[in-house]
Amino acid sequence: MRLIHTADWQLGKPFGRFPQEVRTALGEARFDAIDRIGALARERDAVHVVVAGDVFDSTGPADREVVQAVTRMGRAPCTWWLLPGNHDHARSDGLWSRVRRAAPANVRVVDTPEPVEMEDGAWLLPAPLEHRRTREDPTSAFDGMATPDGALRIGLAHGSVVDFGARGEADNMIPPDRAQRSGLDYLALGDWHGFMPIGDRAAYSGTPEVDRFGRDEPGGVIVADVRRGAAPAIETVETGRFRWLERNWKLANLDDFERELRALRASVDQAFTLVRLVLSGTLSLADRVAVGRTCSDELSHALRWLDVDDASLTAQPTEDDIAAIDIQGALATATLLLKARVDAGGADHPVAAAALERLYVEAIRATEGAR
Amino acid sequence: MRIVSLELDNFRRFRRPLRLEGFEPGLNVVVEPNETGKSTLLEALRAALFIRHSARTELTRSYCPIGDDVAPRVSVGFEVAGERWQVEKQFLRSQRVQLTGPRGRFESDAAEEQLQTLLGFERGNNRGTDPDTRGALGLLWVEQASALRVDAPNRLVRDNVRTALEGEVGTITGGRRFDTVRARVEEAYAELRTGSRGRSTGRLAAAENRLNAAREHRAGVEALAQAHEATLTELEDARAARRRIERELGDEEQASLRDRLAADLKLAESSAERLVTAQARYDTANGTVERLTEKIAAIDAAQSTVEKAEAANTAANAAVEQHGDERDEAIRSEEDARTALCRAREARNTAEAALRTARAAVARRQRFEAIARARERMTSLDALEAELATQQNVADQAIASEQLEELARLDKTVVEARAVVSAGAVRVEVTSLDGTPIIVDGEPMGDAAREVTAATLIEVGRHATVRVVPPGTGSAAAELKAAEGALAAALAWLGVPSYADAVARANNARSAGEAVKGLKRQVDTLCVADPMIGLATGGAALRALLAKEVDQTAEEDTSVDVPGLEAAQILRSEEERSALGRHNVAVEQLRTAEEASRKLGLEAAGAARDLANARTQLAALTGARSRTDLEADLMAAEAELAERLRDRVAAEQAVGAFDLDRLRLRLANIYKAAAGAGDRRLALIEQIAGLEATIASEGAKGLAGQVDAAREEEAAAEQTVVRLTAEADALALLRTTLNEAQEAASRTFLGPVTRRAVQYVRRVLPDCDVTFSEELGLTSIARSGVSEGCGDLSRGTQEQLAVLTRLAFADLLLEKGEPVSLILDDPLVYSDDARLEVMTDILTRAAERMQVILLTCRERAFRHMGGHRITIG
Repeated sequence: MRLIHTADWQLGKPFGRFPQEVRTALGEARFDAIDRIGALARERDAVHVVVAGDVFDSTGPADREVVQAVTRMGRAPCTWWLLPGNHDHARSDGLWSRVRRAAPANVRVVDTPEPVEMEDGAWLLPAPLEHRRTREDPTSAFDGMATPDGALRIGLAHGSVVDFGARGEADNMIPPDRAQRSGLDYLALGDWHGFMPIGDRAAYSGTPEVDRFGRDEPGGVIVADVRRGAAPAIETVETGRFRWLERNWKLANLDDFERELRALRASVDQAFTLVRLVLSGTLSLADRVAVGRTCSDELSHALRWLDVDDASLTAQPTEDDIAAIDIQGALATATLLLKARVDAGGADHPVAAAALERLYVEAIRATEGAR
Repeated sequence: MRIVSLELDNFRRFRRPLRLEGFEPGLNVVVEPNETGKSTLLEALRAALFIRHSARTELTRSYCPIGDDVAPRVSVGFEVAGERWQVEKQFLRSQRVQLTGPRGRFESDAAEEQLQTLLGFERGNNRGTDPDTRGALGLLWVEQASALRVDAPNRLVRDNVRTALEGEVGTITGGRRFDTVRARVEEAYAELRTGSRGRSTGRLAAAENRLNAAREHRAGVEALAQAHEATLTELEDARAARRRIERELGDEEQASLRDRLAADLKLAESSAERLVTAQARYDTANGTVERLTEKIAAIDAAQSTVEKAEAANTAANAAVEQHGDERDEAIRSEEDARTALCRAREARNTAEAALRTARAAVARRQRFEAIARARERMTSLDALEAELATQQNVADQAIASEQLEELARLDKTVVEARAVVSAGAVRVEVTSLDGTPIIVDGEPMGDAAREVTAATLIEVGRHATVRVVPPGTGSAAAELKAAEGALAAALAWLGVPSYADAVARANNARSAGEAVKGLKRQVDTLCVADPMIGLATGGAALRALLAKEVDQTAEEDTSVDVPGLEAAQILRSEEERSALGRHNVAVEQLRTAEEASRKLGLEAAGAARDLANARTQLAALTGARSRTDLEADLMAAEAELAERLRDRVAAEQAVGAFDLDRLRLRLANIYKAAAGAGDRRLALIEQIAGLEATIASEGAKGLAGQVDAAREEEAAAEQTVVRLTAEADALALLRTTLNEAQEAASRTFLGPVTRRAVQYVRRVLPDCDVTFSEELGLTSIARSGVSEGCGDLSRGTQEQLAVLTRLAFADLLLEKGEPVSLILDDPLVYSDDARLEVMTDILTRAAERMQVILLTCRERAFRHMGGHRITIG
């Protein structure tokens, strides 16, 4: 049987740190991912799409988000099996009752730990979460779920197989050999936002549309051919629209910056890329200002979103820098006063550095204005 | 720069056009008396240059002559940088400005701006209150009021001075670039914080507001979401509770227990009823036995009472009989005692009567005697009163001493008057020879001779009449007559013939008065009171008493033995007393005996009554059924009671098998629990429905999603605040640093300024040092190492310093090629002759470098100065 395995849609994620237009684009892309998955199902003749938890970003999405989701699912020629994850865990009369009320027939909510027959000879064993965090293994019930002899057993669960460390969630722990233990032909997992196979019968599909920095690869789904008594054939298909790239550039001069910038621009579609840039190193004042200007005046406009962290990029004013502010007179005096503060490295050292940089910028601007 | 001409019309006191021409490049002196309008000339110059023609301020309105409604006009010709210019301004009505010069003609704003460029000042507020905009001319055109103050030069002057000095001390401020940078920094800072207090404003304030709003919103949404979560939990709890209750309601074990308990209860209740019946019948039988037993006991008690009463009755009757004798004896004793008492009383009465009779006789005799004595005194009294009346009459004739004296005087007057008359008397001697009667003034003449003092007619029978008229009779005779009249009147009033009689009468009266007093004392002694016969003091009382008293004859003088009678009376009284005592004892004894007799009688009557009662009682008790019958009844009743007791014990045993109350309580609890569970179930169903409805409506709002969004919004807002705060901090530091740098630069200018100023100052104050502030204001001077603040100096010195420091700045500006012109309005008013001379010398030398215009009213003080003289009008 061919099915599409996906998870972690996080529909309705607010993206509150971004400007409104970015928020809208990111939010829309997540709904569009449903359409892309539906198209893929049609294309690959997959009649089932299993969603391994975190369909919604919270247990309380707005009605509009619920309706948007089920409407888009409804127009695809396949059955959608939705599992409550930790973000959208099942509660009586909670989110899933609302989804059920709005859902068309091809959208099935599996919010009780009971096996469901997907089609003749194929059974789905769901492990819905009833709490955001639980120390228990949500898949332990699989052992007691009997299915007819010879039927396919497909597990659907949300949680960590391994301790993902700082980047994952250590709750809802699932044993790595769960598929073998419970005689599953395939265990479709959610929670980890990137693709990750666990043994030969289980895998994380990752999110179809990336929603945070820390993962450079684009979002995608798994197309799996599940067979009774044999390992499934697994293929990953890219579905993501936006790339979320994080870059750490250590700079010694302006050339370093420009070289890295050229490489980045060549490798991505800037309009669909969000970049988090962490700059470090020591530059002359002139170079530091130039880097700042390029980021704010050019790069941030070209990219969908740019976040620059230049706290570790220190400016070491050169003699030229100081001369460019002024050789003598009150501006030169002010430069020396500020530089002395920066060099003293006291508590206000970052403030003094910022003030010096500002003085440089304004002095250059005044010179340019005078010309 | 040089002022060439000045023309004004309708400007303040100048209602008619005034034109002053011929200002020279060097020293110009305008000497005019007070009130001629010198200061107005300076005001007109300022108006022509600094005040916009279109301005309508209090200042421009003040240009109009008082009471007029006209258009003030000023026109100034001046020369700057070798070019001749002419500016003309008209204010308030048909306002206009025209500037004409080698570069053409300018009007309106263009003219104003061209003026500013030419003369180095900035557009001001047109109220004359902004010296900072007026540049060099603002400093150097000194009006009367400000000449006394050693002010710091205005900003434009300071900047110009600094620029002028840059060649000397090097480029220090960085000039316009520094200003641009500082302005931009100030501007950027002002977008974030206020300049004065550093409070958030603009973008930073907006970011902070956004953060506060985001925090509030987040808290609000979180509260809502929590409430929603709580509702969900409540719903889960309610559903669990409902399941539990429904399980309880369907519990079969509980149902069978309930049925068993109900059956037991039924059984127990019928046993209990039977017990009640047995108990009642037992009680009835028991009552019969008790009643019969009581009745028999009552009969026995009544019988015994009858017997006791009979005995008591017999004893009482015997006691009554015995006591009768004792009482009779007591009666007799009392009768005897009473008879004795009567006798004693009679004897005492007889004795008392005899005594009374004797006493009355004694009293009558004593009275008779007293009356007799009173009669005797009455006789004496009559005699005394007769005498008293006689004496009183004489005494009543008394003449008062003053009357007597008056009489004596009158008498003396008569004697004296008579003497006077006698002095003029004529002795007439008539002798009747024939005996013919001689009649003098109608009276026979007794004597042969007579003194005639008045006209007197002497008749000698029928023979002749002689009329004698003595000489000198007249007034004396009249006075004598008057005196005699007065004396006669006085004597007549007293009733005496002559003065001598009067004296005698008065003496008699006095001795009679003395006698009266003596007689009265005798009367008083005689008429004393006598209470025995009711006589009061005084003769009248005595007379009144005796008038009533009838004369009685005295009784026979029988002697009466009063003391003997009194002794007999006392003896009889004592006898009566002892008889009375004896009678009292007898009465008391009789009373006691009677009391005892009464008591015994009562006791006997009571015993008889008790006996009767007891007999009646016994008869009543044994009336219906005899004691023997009753005993038979009792035996039958006791047999029935034993039977009833057996029945009751059996019933009690049957009931004892159950605890009825406990059974009832358990069953009631089971029913109550079931009913409660049913009610609770209904309540839960209702609650669940309500909660479901709430959840359906609240869930649709997407609260959890809103919470996430609100949290992220808050984080973003926080980030913005942090970023803007960092920017503001950096700008604040930059701002402070720029100011520090500028102040440091300013200090380097002080040297050159001080050097120039001190040259001038030392001309007036030798060996003096001066100190300037960073604002280039002169702050203090030091003489012989002693520093003095400018404000503490004398007025004269302050004024001189003000002029001298201005000259120093004028020199610096001149070096820089700024247009410089010095105008002093009534200067050096407080200078002494020596200083005035030095100052005028300095000004004369300054006039070699720049145009100096002195406006003064002191012709003599400035007479020695050369220069061009200009007069107004």
